[in-house]
Amino acid sequence: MSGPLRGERIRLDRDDIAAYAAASGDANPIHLDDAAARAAGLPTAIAHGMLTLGVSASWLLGQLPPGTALTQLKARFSRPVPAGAAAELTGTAETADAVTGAFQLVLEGGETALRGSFTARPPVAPAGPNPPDEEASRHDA
Amino acid sequence: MRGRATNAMPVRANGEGWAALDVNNLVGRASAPRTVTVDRDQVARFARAVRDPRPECRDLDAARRAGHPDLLAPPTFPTTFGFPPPDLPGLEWRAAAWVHAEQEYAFYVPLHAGDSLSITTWVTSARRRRAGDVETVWIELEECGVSPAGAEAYRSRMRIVGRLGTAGPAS
Repeated sequence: MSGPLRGERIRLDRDDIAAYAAASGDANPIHLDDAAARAAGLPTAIAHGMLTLGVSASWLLGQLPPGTALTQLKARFSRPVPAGAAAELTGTAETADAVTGAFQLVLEGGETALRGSFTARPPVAPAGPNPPDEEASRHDA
Repeated sequence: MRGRATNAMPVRANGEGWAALDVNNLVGRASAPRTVTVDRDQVARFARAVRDPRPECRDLDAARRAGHPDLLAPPTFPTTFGFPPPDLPGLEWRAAAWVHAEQEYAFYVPLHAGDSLSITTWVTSARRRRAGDVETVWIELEECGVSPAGAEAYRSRMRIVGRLGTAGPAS
């Protein structure tokens, strides 16, 4: 695949953030408690950077062929994503020997919260029901 | 790890804050290796929390049909082994006075529920930066997970930033 990835609007609500805190073990209170977030200079509780990256990776993998594995993933967290804020994931991908691409998560107000890049390895073998025709005919011969 | 995320800052073991951190003395410090085993329920919960759409991350039958020995861990699952980072000699992390600025992963093999890994974290860079009135400390940590057979499964590099003056020494 080459070209733009399908954009997706996302929102990480407090429940989503709490579920990630429990699943990841990162219980930093700035993600769960507005008072703790304010004490750290934030306006409100924010999503974990790693939650935004995890959701970005899921979004990527949902658009790549089944069996594709990420081999590299890189992100810069440039703005916090407040609980409940609307944001949009967009990106591009190119296929040569590997699939490579770049993506970003942009808040509704236009600020970029995350900028990332990735490399992925397509599925290793066509293990599924559709082998290439040449292979099939060789087997039949 | 979880019970201690209440106070305000990463401090040296002697109780001083960012301002007293001796960045020149951090590079090369490493955590003791720790062994983790990937838990199946945690993989499924983590996959739901990050909205991984792949059934092989949540459903054991689907994982086996796709040729996996057990549930497949989502790519960022290794964050559960190292975030917040383990204490390093002389550097104890406390939540809320530092932020995660950058993260990189290299994945060498798929990670599955039931896998055991030996995890080590070490400091590769530590320095102060000043922009106007704001002074920050940037610490770069690397982490690797190695299988019992000695194969590296993944490598992580994270950059974390503490801002001087946002939190005074613990009192």
